[in-house]
Amino acid sequence: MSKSEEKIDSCFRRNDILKNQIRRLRFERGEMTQQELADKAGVTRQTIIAIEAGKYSPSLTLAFKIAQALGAQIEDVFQYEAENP
Amino acid sequence: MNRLQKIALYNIIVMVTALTLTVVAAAIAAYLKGLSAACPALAMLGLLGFMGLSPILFGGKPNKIDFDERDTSIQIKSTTIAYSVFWFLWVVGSIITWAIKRNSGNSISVEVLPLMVLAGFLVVNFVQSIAILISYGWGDKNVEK
Repeated sequence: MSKSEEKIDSCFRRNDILKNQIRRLRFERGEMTQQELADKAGVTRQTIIAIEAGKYSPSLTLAFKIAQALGAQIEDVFQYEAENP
Repeated sequence: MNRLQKIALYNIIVMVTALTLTVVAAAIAAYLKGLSAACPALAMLGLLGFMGLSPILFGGKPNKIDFDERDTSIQIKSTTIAYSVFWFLWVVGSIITWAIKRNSGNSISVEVLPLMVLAGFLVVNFVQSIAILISYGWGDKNVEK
């Protein structure tokens, strides 16, 4: 993420970390492509790329859709970690 | 590059082109006929009307998802940034003008009004477009090969 992207993001986002296992689960589910997952979840491929890279935290609805598309429980796909526990 | 990025880039190109053409036209007009700056400003607002063509030029394809919650979020963020920058410049510009002019006894010409409308339109749209392009990042770095 570039410095300008970080600046814009830091103005709007809390310092929460949402880790995800999307990439691993995609490969475990028959090497599902980002586009296939995007189509199943009803979003663009760019959004899946951003979520995988941890640049975008999805809404709860989208998180459930992604988990459903991957055939997994939401807690297996996303893990919340507080930055300063 | 998605639809929102294409529209942002198109808007920047239209604004830069319109600004260049207007500055050249204003310089020529001022040299030849001594026209005020308000006339080229209104002409430039007309040229900026080309920005309105973006929904036609970059219309979505049927049965294809090209806009989702992340795009909405980026659009809201960039609009907030654009109006914040506009408000900051507006306040600073007003105070500086007041500080310079208050003791001179001069009033601001009514010719300034079209320029103010133009400047506000340009600032909001230019900053919004730049913020959209920055928010998406330059290129897809995590795309599968």
